[in-house]
Amino acid sequence: MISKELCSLSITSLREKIQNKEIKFIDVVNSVLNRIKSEEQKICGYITLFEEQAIKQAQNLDATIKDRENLHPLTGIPIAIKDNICVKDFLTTCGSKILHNFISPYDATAVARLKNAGVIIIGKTNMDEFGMGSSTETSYYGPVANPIDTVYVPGGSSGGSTAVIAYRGAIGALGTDTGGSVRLPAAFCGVVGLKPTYGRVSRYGLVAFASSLDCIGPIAKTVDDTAIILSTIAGQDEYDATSVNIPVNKLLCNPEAIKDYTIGIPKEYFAEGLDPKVAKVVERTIKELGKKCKAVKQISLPQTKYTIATYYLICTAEASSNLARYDGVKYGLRTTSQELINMYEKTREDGFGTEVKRRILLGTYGLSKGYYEEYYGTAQRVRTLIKQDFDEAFKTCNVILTPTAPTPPFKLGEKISDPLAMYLSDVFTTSPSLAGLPAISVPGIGKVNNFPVGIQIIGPAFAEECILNCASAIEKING
Amino acid sequence: MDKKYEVVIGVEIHAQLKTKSKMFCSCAVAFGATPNSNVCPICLGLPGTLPTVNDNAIELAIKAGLALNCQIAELSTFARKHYFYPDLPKGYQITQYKEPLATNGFIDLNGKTIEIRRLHIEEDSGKSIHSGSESLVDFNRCGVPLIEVVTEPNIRSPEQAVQYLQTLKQILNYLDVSDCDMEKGHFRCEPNISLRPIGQTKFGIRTELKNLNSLRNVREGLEFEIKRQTKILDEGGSIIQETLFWDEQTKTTGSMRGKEESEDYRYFPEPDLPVLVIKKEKIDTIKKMLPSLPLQRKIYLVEKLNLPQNIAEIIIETKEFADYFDATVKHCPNPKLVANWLTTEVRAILNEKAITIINFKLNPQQLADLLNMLNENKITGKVAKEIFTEMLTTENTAQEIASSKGLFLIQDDDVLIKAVAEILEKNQDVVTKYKEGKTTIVGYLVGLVTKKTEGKISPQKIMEEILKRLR
Amino acid sequence: MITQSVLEKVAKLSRLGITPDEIALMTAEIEKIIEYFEQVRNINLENIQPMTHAVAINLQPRPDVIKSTKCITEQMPYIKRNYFFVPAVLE
Repeated sequence: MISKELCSLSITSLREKIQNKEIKFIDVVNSVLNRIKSEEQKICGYITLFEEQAIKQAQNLDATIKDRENLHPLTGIPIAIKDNICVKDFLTTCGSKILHNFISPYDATAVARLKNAGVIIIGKTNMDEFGMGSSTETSYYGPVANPIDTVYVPGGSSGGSTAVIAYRGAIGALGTDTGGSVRLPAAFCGVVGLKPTYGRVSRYGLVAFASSLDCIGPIAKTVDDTAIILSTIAGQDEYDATSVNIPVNKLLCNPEAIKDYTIGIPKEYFAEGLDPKVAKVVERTIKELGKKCKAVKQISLPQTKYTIATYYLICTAEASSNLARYDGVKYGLRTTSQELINMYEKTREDGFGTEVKRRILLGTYGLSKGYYEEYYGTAQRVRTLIKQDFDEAFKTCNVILTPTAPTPPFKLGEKISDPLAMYLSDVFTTSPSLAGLPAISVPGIGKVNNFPVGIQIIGPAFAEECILNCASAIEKING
Repeated sequence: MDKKYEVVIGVEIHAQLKTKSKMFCSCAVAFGATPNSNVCPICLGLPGTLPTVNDNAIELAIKAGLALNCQIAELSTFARKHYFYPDLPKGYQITQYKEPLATNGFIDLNGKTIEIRRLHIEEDSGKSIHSGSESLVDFNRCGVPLIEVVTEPNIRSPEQAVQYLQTLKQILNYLDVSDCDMEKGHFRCEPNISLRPIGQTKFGIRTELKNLNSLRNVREGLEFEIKRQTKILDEGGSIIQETLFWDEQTKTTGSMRGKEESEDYRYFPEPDLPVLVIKKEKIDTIKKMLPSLPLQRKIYLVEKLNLPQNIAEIIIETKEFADYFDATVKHCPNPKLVANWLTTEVRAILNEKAITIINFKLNPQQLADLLNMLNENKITGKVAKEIFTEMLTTENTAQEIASSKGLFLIQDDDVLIKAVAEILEKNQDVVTKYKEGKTTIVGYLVGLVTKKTEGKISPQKIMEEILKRLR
Repeated sequence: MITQSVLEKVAKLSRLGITPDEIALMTAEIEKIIEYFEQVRNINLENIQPMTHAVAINLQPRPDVIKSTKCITEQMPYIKRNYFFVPAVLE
């Protein structure tokens, strides 16, 4: 049936069929909903499904839109939203018990922009609690399984968003990326995930984890699809003082553009800790790209070995601050008590999972009197050095190419008892986060154990076009 | 009071800024609204919300900093101050810490300099009401812009502290930066106080006082603390560094329980707000547009208009009163007369009706019309007061009232000469007494002429004519 | 050194209820993590400024204009007669 295949098409292809009146809006939604019916039970990618509303919306579009010529490319396209991004009048749980009943009275700016473009929101996706995790195993609503092989993790924290794209339970999705949370699960699920430059997309309505690192990023099956979503949600927002006034043009993905590019390969990323099978795929990808681009050169990012420590010192400190507001006073879980402080302690004990508690303790410790300069203060300075590394590197190359993850996906339960081991999965993605740079993960040329291998392309600030071009080139080679 | 010790006081105040909207969101700043009616996702600290900075709050804070002779920082930053309390929705307050808006200022208190260590911007918290086993929280006040002003410990007595507060309030009023109404909570004062043996340079242990919601409480609270600390030190004990709560009923200070004891606020730079850059041009522009401050206006009144100090001080009490004075003097060229009337008659009415000059029925022009008639000797002082009273209850002008009631003084000299001649003739015995040296008796004669002329000739004129005749 | 008592103080500071079992386990984990963090203290950071913001822009203040938002809804369960209510602090 046509309906079954529609969910496997790209935004551009769907747009074409819609424009040609080959299909109706409801056909797209039904295709996606059917896929969800068959796969969702074993994947658990969604926390909330908007089935009824989606059908109504599609029917409404079919009834009211006469002229399909000048539609926004995203009109009628089913999009999934990670559950730490606010959608008005619906639950936003952040994968946590403490927000299990929180209904947001407002839309995140990114969501409002998608709605303005006529998007059909299919549901809110599952995630590591408050974005803290690399495997989507810490959600209060249960872990997410990798659609490629359900014994394995999808990566995290946007594992729900990437899994539903992977099993075609949505055409596009929004995820959030603080230290790799869009890129890592995109790599593990074999889809495309983009983290824009910090400040490109408004954070208003994104439930904060680490304020100086959080970004909303698009996830989709193709590079072009992510570009379409990005250009719709990006742009300065009066509600976000850290959003930047840089014009958003339609971001074209031109694989031919790389013929003028020098691609930098940081030597520190190809050291111990990198799985040799992953390394092979990356090397093959570099080789193929090398045939199409101007040059490939080795570069150095000397501070690489400090990135995990720096990242976790900063993100836990900011997280401990951002999560102070979850106290049961105004909304969310409240564990009743006769006395206030007891209420706070019990509510937070009850409402937060272990990883979140661990990070709050780490962060509070790092900010406390006597320790600030040693930990948080020091980390912010190392961050400057990390940024300087990239500034230096981009003097001699247009983009930087690395593996997205050091290993292929691991099994559910494999790393959850060893927090430090889990943190080390982020080793390649945290540097560009600390530097505020844009980075995309796209499946490379080759597989490991049947899993695609994610290739990360990093660009200079606000140069999303460059990384999209390079990622398109890889996509094209993969055919 | 024991004079063994020197009193060392520093004062920290928080003043609400007169902006329309809140510091970090666009909710209205209003007093007395239904609880939780001026709130939004941002000031409630809902998940996903972010702060944005009110430009008027910045400007008012700069004005205040300049008026206090501070250095305005070209770069200043915001910080998070963490503690848990129901009226603090985010679990932290956005304030300024390492790089405040203004530093190193001073206020002159009649020759004594009070140094201002810093002035910075922050947001207010909500209000909790304690009701038995529950607390009720209203977030209307949450997010209202505040400036915090901290002095060096230069103050040496409770009276001086009160003087500092009065002067500071006056300046903020003149700048229209804050209403400074202590009872409404617009202006909160937290002094800290320590004692040290006279001659010692090292500071003693200080205590901080809270809940001083009037200037009288400030003075009484500090006086109590001095007595309390003196007693402890005299007995060889030591002061515990702590925050004390002033109890208005018992007029004593007591330890604060429950709230943060040496809390670790875990300050760090606010990641949601980039650095605030204030260009020198902007500071210069604001400086140029600062209104005359109380001290400057007082100097002008005393030196240029020759008003007595105490009268000048009453006139400059509030900017509105001083402006009213200026406006009246524009239309009535006798500043002393205007000053007298404002500080006696007008002020009495304001007190009686418990209003301020803003709500006074007469505008400066109307008052000036009346005072001009007096100044030009068209009416007597007594008549002026009568007309004044009637102007407050009717819509008639001074002219209208004087005309309709025939209150104008007779300007015709013939009437005067004739009346004086008549009285002097009828009272030869009094004239004799005057010529024998009882000069004060002339007042009696003035009274007789006044009665004869129905008070329609000014007593000075009568006096002059009588004295002329008696020579 | 992260001892259990240090962590208990930190838990109090962050109003986080923690069971004795959790404290014991977390102390060990956190100790290991902090040890891993220690390596950043070996870096020469002389004259390096902290990077507080990921993007180098200046604050753009917003105009002082009132915008009304109705956002207290029945979804907020802890409201009585327009007030949010909480248990009182123990004196």
